[in-house]
Order: sequence, then structure tokens, then C-alpha cells
Amino acid sequence: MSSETQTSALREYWQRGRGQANLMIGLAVTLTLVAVALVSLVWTPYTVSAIDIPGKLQPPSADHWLGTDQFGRDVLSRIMAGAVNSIAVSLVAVGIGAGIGVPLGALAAARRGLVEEVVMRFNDFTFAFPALLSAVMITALFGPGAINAIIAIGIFNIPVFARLTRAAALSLWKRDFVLAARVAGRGRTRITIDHILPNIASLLIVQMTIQFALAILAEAGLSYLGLGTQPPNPSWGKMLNEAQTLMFIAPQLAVFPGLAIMVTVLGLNLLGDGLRDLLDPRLRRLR
Amino acid sequence: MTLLSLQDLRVTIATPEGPATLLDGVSFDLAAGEQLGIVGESGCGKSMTALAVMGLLPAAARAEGHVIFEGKNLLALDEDALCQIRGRRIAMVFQEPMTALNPVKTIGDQVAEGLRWHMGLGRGEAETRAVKLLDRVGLPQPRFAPGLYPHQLSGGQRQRVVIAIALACDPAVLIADEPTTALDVTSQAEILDLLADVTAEARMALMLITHDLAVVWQNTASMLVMYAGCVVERGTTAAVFERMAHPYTRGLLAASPHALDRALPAGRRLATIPGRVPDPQHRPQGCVFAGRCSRAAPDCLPGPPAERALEDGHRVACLHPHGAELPA
Amino acid sequence: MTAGETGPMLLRVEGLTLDYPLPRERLLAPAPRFRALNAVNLHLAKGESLAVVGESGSGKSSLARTVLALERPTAGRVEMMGQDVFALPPAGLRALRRHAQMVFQDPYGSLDPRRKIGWTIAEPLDALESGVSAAERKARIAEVLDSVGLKPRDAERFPHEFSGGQRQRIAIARALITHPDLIVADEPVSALDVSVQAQVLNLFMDLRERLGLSYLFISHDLAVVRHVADRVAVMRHGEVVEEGGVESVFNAPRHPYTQALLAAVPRVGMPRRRNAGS
Repeated sequence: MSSETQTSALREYWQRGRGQANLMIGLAVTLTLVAVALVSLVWTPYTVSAIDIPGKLQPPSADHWLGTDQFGRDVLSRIMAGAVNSIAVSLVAVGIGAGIGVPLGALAAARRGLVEEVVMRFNDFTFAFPALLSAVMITALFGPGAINAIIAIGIFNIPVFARLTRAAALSLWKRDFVLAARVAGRGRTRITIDHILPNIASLLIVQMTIQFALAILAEAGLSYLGLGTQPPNPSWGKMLNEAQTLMFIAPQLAVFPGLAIMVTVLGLNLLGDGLRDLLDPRLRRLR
Repeated sequence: MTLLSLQDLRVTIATPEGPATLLDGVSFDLAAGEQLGIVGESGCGKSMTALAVMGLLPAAARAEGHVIFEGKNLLALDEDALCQIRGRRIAMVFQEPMTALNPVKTIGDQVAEGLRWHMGLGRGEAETRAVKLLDRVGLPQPRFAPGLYPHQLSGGQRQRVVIAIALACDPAVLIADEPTTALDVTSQAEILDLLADVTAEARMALMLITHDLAVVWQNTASMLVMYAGCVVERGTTAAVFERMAHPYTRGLLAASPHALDRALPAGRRLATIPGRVPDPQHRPQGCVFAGRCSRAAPDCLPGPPAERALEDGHRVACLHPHGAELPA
Repeated sequence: MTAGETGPMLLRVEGLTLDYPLPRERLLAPAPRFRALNAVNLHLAKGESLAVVGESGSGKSSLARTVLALERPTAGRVEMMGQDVFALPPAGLRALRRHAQMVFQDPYGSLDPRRKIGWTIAEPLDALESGVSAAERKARIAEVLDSVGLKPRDAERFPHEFSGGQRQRIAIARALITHPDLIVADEPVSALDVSVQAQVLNLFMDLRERLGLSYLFISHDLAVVRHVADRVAVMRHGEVVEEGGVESVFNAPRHPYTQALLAAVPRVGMPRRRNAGS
């Protein structure tokens, strides 16, 4: 594929995408989140874990925009640093899910028969446990911590991607252009790489944004239970957990990380919806 | 007596590449009991005409002109009023019987649905009528119990169910859009016979839309030939086939492999119409067929040719038609 | 050209039987089977063209797929150029694929929407011939595009930029690129408009004359195959019910099913129905 047609395709996407409110809002929120996370790596208003007991539980003020927590740590700084954590966890978790799930689903669709049965039963097995419960189980087994949380969330993304990939690939395997590739002597692996995956890529991208949002929620949930990110590292879920006991004294401690989670998940979902509309081939040009 | 009258129907649709004209001034009358064939290739506007009559144009489409049915302009009616006409006074048979039927409902229920909805019949009465209708379209009891599901029937049998649904409320007009294209040849003849019988019986008007000239020849009394959103030739089926005045009509017949009654001699080829149908976004100013026409002359290009009368109500939109010279 | 046994044999199908398993009705009982092909025998000499005609469910498409080794038969043999297709090792089968290519019915479904025409056309070349230089590859693409009446620069365009008839030409170009001896065409014109149908049928006739191709031409429409085939086999319920020279089957069909099939085709000039014109 020449770079010229690729840039013109990108330009076409941009032309059509610009008019979509969902996509633009979702994109803006997501980019803001990434920007905040990047900034926090080099600069935060205060040192993230600096304890200042005399200045604890301050309401929002000019000095501390979002106030301070029970140890006097700056809430804004912790939310900024928590964004890094959320992004890292969901990125790796979705990466594990897609990285293992997509090949498994594609394999099941290409091979059918026994291979398909084994892969799909494995998926059913994983799906049979409530995700959060199993994540609790895994972290209970291997000990709490960010890495184990990532693995636990990642494992639950595998069947999601495997099923989606298999279902989409199966319908493609019935198409004539795939049959044509078989007549041309292409093997199943090659057909999967050349024809199947490019044609389901948009579907997968959309699913990834949705799983990304779910992973952020899952990480917050695990950290809230004390099984995810460990103190003193900041995490949105952990912040919610700590704020719980102070609900009536300093409600802002729960409100701000809660808002951060809500806005991020909403933004990612909007982005997913927007991408779905943008990448839907039926909506591409009328002819 | 004219039942349905289309007057200068124009349908345009907005596309990213500008407005596209799908129908460009289509006019015709349909009388009770008339069997009208509409023939043309894909993109000629024949299905769009049917959708306009049914009030089922795509949301982005704009229609101008008049579709007068029983004294009312259907284009001006609201959705509620259209629902009273659609399915009850004007019914439709679609190309693909499998998608026209609901796969999770029994055929009896699907036939009875219109009776209960439009005619206000009770469950028992509607079911009795549904069984009679199934019998009428050649699906007799007990072999074709109303409790069967569409997937238990063959393609031809499914199309019979679709026809039974269309007949349920005794409509005045039946529109059949390529009713046999998805069927095997042997079922095709049976379905066309059935359509002819049931419409003649009830003096129902039949609008038979097809790409196949032979189907029009065998099943209709009058016909329209459409090309790129325009009616290019019309008249009684006998008169149109007798003269084939428009070059497009002739080209269409000559290109059909069915037109020859023996194999081509070695080295000979089928007749073709060169070029392709103009884009609905970039229609030519003059005659829409001029770009592909062997008889085109400079006078075809400035504006669209007006329809002119030949003998016996046969009309053609062409300045240089085939056949006898035009009367002065 | 009805003899068929004169030239060297390109394709020989013997006792070909294909069963598809149906969903199990009871858990422990063996799954019921549907017989798509039942002991089909056919042969095709080099340069000869055979049409297979039948209605939906007759097994004609299953036959096309089995001949190209896309399905494995339950019983029987497919011999191409003297070699048993299903006894060959994968490499041998690939070598044979160069000689037999396929054209599909639906011109919208048979081209990958995400690939440029040039890529799609060259796919059999890339898969089946090694050591083709970039320059030769480009020349071969241009050559087959020219054969089907398209321009070399069309290789840089995507399928959605073409009409149905042009896409079918592209599919034919793909089938031609390995210089095959046999093209299996499964209803190649039935999704096309009448005027385009004639153009594509003419292209099939041209290519056959110019390149000496053989066709296994699958169709539901006897009138269509009349102009491109020497012999015709009529199929019903997975069996060949009649086979013969195309003109003799047309003019003097022997099997009642063939007679019914021919009689059912509406034709201009044939008597009109009782209701019409009243």
C-alpha cells in the first residue's frame, strides 16, 4: 500500500470524522487524559507522595485546586499520577487480551473442528467465572499488586477478543474472496494475515476502546478492594477506597477520583461509538 | 378507470458527491385490473418507482410531483395515513422471499397479521382466512399447515406465502418487484402464473417489475421501459415488442442470450450495448441514452427528448426511433 | 466438437460423491448426512468446454468446489492432467493449481475490499509461482488487465471504484494470471445486468479462442451456456441426468427434467399467457 493512498484515506476519515460529536468529544477526552498522564511524569503541582499532616483534609483552594487528603497530599497531583497508572494497567491488560485472544479466535475460525472446540471451551471456562471474582482469586493466590491486577484483567479480556474475532472471521471465511485466495493456493495462515485480519481490524479497534474503559473500571475496582496498586502509589480506585471512611468529613476526596473515572470511561465509550461509525464500511462513500 | 396515477415524479437523494437524480419525471396511469410491466436494468429507477408508490423512499430522498391513488396524493400523506394504505390497498411482493418473511414466526401468523391489523379480525377468524389464503396460493392443507416456519419451505413456496400476505387484505394494486429473480426457472413460471391468476380473479392491478423482457412479454398487457430514471418507451406490450422503437429497448433484447434460438456461429458474438449507465450525479443534459446510442445525432444532446406518440398509444422518448418513419 | 475424447484429457471426474454432515438429531446417533453429489462422472478434454446446468440444490456448485479441491469428496476421484488431485502432496496440489483457476458468481464478494486490484490479481501468481521478478509481475498484471479490457493503471485502484461488470472482468483477470488451462466459472454472469452479461459472455468467448482455454461453466440458465460450451451436463439432486453436445441437448432433450427446464424459460415470441392482453 503506497503512502500516498494511505494519507488520502486518513484525510477522508478526518473529513468525515470532524462532523461527529461522539468521536470528537471522545477523542478530546482521551487525548486530554493522555496529556495529563504524560505531564505528570515530569511535573505535578506537588510531589505526589509528599505528606503534610498539618495541611490535611483541606477543601479546594488556590494552593490546592482539588484540596488535600487525610495525609495532606495534593489530590490534583495524585489524580494526575493516577492517570498514568490507569493507562498503563488498561493498555497492558487490553494488550494481553487482544494479543492472545485475537490469534486464538482467528485460529479457531481457520481450523474449525477439534481446534475450534478446544479454544472455545477454554473461553467458556474463563467466561464462566465472574470477572471481578476471578481477579480477586488470582490476586489472592499470587498476592496483591499492580502487576497481578494487570494479568488478572488481561486474562478476562482474552475470551472477549477470541469470541469476537472468531465470529467475525467465520463470516469472512465464507466470502468468495477468501475462496478465491484458496483457489490461488494460499494457506490458512496466510489468508488469515492477508484477508481476515485487515477486514476485521476496525471491529477490533472499536472493541479495544470499550475494553480499555472496562479495564480502567476493573483496575479501580481491584485497587478499591486493596488488591491492585499498592500504597503509596496513587491509583483512582485506591483514592476512592481511602476516601470512603471520610465521606462525611471530606466528600470532595471521593468526588474527584470518581469524576476522573467517570469522565475517562465516558470519553472512551464515546470514542468507541464514534470509531464504529467512522470505520463502518457501509457508511464509507455511497458507491 | 384510473386507479393509480404518477405525474411527473422526480426523486433526488443527497450524496457526498452532490444531489443524485434517481427518477426524472416519471408519469404513468394504472387502471383496475391492468397488468403493467416495468422493465429496465439495475439503477434505472424501477424499484425506486415502487418504493415511491409505497411511501417507502429512503429518508434522505426527496420526492416531487404527484402519486395519486384513489384521489389522494400519497406523497403528501403522513405516515399514519400511509399505513392505512400500505399493505391494505397497495400490497407488495419482494424479490427475496427469505428476507421478506420473519424467520421466527409461523407462516399462518404472518398471513393472519395483516388481517388482524388492517381488517380488525379476531384471532380465530384471521386464522381461518389465513388457511384459505394459503390454499389459494397453492399451499393446501394439511401438507402446508399454518404452523410451519419459513425455513421449512422451498424458495418458490416461500414466495407463495409472501403473495398470500400481499393478498390478505384484498388490495387494489399489487406491486411485484422482481418476484421470481431469486427463484429457480421451474418455480418462476409457476409464480408468474399464480400472480396472473390471483390478480385477474379480483380485478387487481398488477405492477410487475423485472429486468427480463421475456417475463414482461409473457405476463403483461402494457409495459414501460425505463432507463436512468426516465421512461423511454411505453405502450401495449404487443405494440412495443412489434416495433421496439427505442434503441435501448432493442439493445436490451438483442443482448439477452435468450433472444437467440440457436447457438452463435463460431467467431460471432452477442450484441452488446457499449458503455455504461450514466451516474445519477452526473446525468447528461440531453437524452440519457445518447452516450451509448448508435443512432444518436447532434440534436439528441441539447435537451431531453419529449415523448412522442406512435400508433396505438405506443409512445417513445426518442428523436430517432427505430421502425416506420414518424407521421409528420 | 461433441466428441471430447479426441484431445488429451484435462479433467476426469469419476464416481464423485460428496456428503455434508447435517446437525445431529439425537446426541448419540450418528449425524445425518446430505448427499450433495452422487457418483458424478465427467470428462473434459484440453480446449473443450463443458457446461454444468442445474437449479439450486442440484450440486453444481459443490461439483465446482470439489473439482478445485476446495472440498474433500466422500468417494470418487478427480484427475487433472492425469494426476489424482486428492492423492497429491500439498506441493503437488499447488503446482496443479496453476492450471486451474476459478471465477465466482458475485463480483462484489469475490474481491477483497481492502486490497488494490493489482494485489488481488497477482495473488495466484504470488502464491503459486516463485522467482517472479517485480518487473515481470507488473508486466503480467498489465497483460491480464489488457486481456479483459481494463487499463494497466486500474491496478492501483480499489474494488469499490468499479462497476459490477468491471469487477467480474477483474476476477477473470485474476484467474488468467497463472496462464491456466482450465477455468471453473460458477454462475459468472448471473449477478450481472443483461447488457453487461452479454459483454462478459463475449469476453469468455474471446479468451477461449485466443488462449485455448477450457471452461467448466456452471449455470442455472441453459441459454447462457449455449454460447460458451461444447457439451452440457444437466444436474439434479446431485446426479447428472443428461449429458451431450450443447445443440443436441437444446434441440432434442431426452430427459424429462431437461425438457421441463427448457420449457420453463420464458422467451419473447413464445405464446403469451391467457390473462395477458385481455
